[in-house]
Amino acid sequence: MNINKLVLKEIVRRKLNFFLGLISVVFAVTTVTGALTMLKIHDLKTGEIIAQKELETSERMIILEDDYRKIMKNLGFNLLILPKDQNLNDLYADDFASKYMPESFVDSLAASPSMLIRHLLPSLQQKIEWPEKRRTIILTGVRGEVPFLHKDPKEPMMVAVPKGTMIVGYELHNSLDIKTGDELKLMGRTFKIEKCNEARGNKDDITIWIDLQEAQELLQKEEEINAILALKCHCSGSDLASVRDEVYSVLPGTQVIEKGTSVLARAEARDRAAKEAQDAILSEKIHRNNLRKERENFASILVPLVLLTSTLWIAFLFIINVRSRKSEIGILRAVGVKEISIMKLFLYKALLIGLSGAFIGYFLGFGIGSIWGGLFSVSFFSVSQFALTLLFAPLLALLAAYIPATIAARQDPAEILRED
Amino acid sequence: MLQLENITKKYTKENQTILALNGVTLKASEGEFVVVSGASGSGKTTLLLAAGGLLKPSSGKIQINSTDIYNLTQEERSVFRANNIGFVFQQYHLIPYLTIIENVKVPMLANKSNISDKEVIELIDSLGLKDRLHHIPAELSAGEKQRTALARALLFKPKILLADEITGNLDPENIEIVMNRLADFKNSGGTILLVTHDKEVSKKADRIVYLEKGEILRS
Repeated sequence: MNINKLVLKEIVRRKLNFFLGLISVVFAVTTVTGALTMLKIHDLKTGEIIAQKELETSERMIILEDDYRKIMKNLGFNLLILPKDQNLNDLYADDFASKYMPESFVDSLAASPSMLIRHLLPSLQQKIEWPEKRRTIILTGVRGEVPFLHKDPKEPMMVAVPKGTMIVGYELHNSLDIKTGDELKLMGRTFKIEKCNEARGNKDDITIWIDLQEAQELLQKEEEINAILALKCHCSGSDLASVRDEVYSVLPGTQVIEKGTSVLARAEARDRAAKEAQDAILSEKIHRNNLRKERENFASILVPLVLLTSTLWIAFLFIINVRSRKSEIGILRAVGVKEISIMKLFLYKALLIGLSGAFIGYFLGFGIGSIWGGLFSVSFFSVSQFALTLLFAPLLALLAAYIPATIAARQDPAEILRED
Repeated sequence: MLQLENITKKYTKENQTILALNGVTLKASEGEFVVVSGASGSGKTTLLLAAGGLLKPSSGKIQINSTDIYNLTQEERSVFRANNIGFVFQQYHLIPYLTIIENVKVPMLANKSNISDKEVIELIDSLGLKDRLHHIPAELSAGEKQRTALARALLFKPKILLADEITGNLDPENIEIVMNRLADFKNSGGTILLVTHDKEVSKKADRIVYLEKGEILRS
């Protein structure tokens, strides 16, 4: 006969008392574990949702950037660097510049450590009478893209027109029945038709493109140009002032105007879309955080309340148990059982209630928390949390049983035995 | 030997002092069977509990084999009780969820002396309860319960047996069984202090002590 056997026998005899205590611990542990599991699932889901949204945004931005690049390429340039004395009224009236600046400007710009401009295309344009065909045309000399010395070479957005060849606008080749491969004279010089452009519905349809140097020779404007088309970096859509400052710092004798507003608008739209996507992610984060706080607040009220109720309930059950075992305590004391052993009778029982309750409650709470959180995975099972539960639930039960156990141990056996 | 010297026990109840024992002096030698008799409220049970080390007297000295039991600490007194004193009460005080053999072994919770199951069964058999070893108290008659309580008190062969109205609920047959077992105990050198109203039982005592209002009238 020993205390442990007595405890087990008493539990078997008074199953209801043990069961009610066990339910209390199970309820407390289930609540705590359920709340923790649910919050853990919430955090995991938040991470997954945000990661998914970021991935979607990233994919959307790649598509947007690709679209943007294509749009930019199709629309041409978004900045025009002109001689400082170019009258903009004339420019807008004629749709080309009438003043000139040194061709070396473009080389100076290309040699500068520009951060904002990616592509430079110098050109020389002049409206002339095509003497051989008696047609007014815009003769444009181009030399293709001028590479930046300080940057990795990019794929050129426009290639040069080979010497001795020309590209003809739609209206010209259509009305004059010009075909690719034909040879034509322009201002006394023979050119082979490199390409006949599709209709664009603008001055390009009456434009002839030839090599810049040949154009300079024909127009007697050696080493002169009247515009540099600059394609700004697509990574910023609203920093024209910065680009201007950068150009003016290298080429003080120029003016910079915006060309291709739709490109900028699209760039701004892209940036706006990116910002909206970021805002959506931020909003989702805030929403998830708020939801977590709500759940945390709920748990922070529920958990202490349940723990307190469980503790009081266990204490109440032990007081009932002590009262119903007065005679037993009296005779045990009479036969010489010490106070500490009487306490052990109750504390061991509390320990068993706590351990059993922790074991059952943890797995129950894990299951309920998973259902509540809407996700079940064994990866949420935490050995350390389980160990802590196995430590704290018995401590809770011991705490609740301590005062009743002390009362039991300090009962006067003489009084009990005399009463009976 | 049990020796009570000028024992007084006072209670305070509702601002009134009650004198349960008043200068009681009593000696019971080894192998002596002393009956304590008296009317209800005369202090018999108080005397028994005080003699057993469960109720500290207000004054006086109680010695068992020269040990002043109230000079011991509570823990020491518990150990002393486990080794030297057996208790039997009218209400048996059996533990309801233990079988008869387990109830008899309850003193082993306090006394670590080694007693084999065979010895326990022999003791139970000597009280005619061998067929009831694995029954719980609720399945026993009053006589069987009292015999179980007596077996429990005798488990460690105590020097002193303190019994309070142990025949009060028993039929003559059971009284005889119990008294025979008490006689065996006495004959083996044990001291018995039995509180009873039963005149037939008192006749078997070596000495009868009459208590009235906490004082010994005669012995």
